[in-house]
Amino acid sequence: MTDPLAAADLARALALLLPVRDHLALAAAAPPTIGTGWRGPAAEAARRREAALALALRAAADLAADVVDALRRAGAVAA
Amino acid sequence: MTGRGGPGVPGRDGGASGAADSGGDADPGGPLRVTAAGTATVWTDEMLATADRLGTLDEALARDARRVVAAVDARVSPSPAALLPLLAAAATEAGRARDLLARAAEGYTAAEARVDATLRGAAGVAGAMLGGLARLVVLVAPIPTLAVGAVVAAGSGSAGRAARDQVLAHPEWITSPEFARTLSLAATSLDGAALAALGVPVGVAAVAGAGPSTAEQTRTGASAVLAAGRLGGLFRETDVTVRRTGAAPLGEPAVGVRGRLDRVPEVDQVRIERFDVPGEPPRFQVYVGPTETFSPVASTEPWDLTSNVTGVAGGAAGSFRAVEAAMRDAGIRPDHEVQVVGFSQGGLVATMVAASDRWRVVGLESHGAPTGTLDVPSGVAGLQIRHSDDLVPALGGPQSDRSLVQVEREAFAGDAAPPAGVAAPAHQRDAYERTALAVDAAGSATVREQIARLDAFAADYLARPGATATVLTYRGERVP
Repeated sequence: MTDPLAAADLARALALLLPVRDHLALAAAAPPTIGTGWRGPAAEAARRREAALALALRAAADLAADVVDALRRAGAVAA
Repeated sequence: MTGRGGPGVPGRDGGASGAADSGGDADPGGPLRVTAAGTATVWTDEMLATADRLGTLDEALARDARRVVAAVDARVSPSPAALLPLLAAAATEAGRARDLLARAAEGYTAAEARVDATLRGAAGVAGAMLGGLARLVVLVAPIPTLAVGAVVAAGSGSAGRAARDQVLAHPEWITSPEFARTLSLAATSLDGAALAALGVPVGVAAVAGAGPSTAEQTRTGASAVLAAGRLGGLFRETDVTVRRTGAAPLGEPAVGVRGRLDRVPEVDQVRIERFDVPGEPPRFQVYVGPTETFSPVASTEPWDLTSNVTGVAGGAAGSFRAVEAAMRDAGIRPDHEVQVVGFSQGGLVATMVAASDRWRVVGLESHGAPTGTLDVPSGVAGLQIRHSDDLVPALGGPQSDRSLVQVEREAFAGDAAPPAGVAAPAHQRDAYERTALAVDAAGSATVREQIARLDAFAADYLARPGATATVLTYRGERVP
């Protein structure tokens, strides 16, 4: 049984969130930009902060991937 | 601006940022340190590029959040709404990282300023205590010994030559940020020394030497050097003439910092590129060469020590007058757009042209120039590039004007040893060529935007239909 309204909503949501998933995946995978040339306590603090940012991005990227997968599954059912 | 070692200082001990390779040799230069136009905060290019990336990320996360809000009604599990707090958390972390970088840069800058203030106070007292013309000469001995070996050599015979040989054998003595910084601050204390030389008590002279601005102090000090030198027949300015030595069609415009530095002339000291587009006023790019002789006795060469000291003192140096004469001969009018580029004394003269109200300078790029006393009008595009271990820019005193983006690095950083047998290794053209490549490879928008504006000056014009380009070369001479 097909629900055209639900399918359209899911497709719209998928179109909105696919770029979000892709951007977050890319941002989470980016290598650290603070190199080894900067040393000392401030440099260590900056590296810790960059690592915390990478973790936050990874968590968002993983959830975005799960949401997109869920939208695809729901879309297939609705179709 | 820098010193070696020390905790918490960005880019102290690392290798090159945007490491460049010239002629197959590893670049011994340090990371680029950048001060954005109109600010006093010193960042490394790496830190600026990271801050740029975090700013871009912040905008992208905000865009992501708007998309999630638009999709928040989708009935799936996990819900899109669950993404919003995670995006907010990532944005918060990005903001904290940016704040931390900014605080690190401000902390570094403040620490440098404290060191400068301490050294300046000490230099002012030392300058005053060294009063008396003989002592004044002792105070400026680094200038003749290191940049102008001829003074010592001529004045002290074999002793002078021995001193010069020692300096050539031990380039590390004069190739360090500490030495350059001390020399820079000494340049600001020469006025105190001059007052003391006139018999003003030390305390009063030291206070006077702590005057209203480092630029004024440096100009006054250079004027004192001129006055002292003229007593002995040195540093006498003359009339100058210029003659055109060549004219030819120009192929491609220079691209990039290294491309422009490569066009800075030698021997024929001025190169002017003219770009014409039908229906538009011409544009001109003026390249000014470095010092040709370090003799303090003016002969026929205007690119001499007399012009260097006169320029730092704020006077009409012979080389500056020769460049203006060449510009007039090339057809440059006060309303024509001009971009000026120079190395060493050429950078000083290029900056003097930009600081003059007689020309419409829209872009300036200087390499290793003693420009500390000169104010460039706001709105001019460009870069002032110098080595923190180069004594020549230091002779112009601390950089007071912040209208242009300042780019600085050590030519020989960390364990890299300057080559023996070379006078002032950090001031050599090949050292600045390596730095030019490093600047071309910079990752920060602050630097990249200026390079793009300088490149566009000629490239935009030549991309138009019917555009032509011509190159003119000039040689200036003194008329004793």
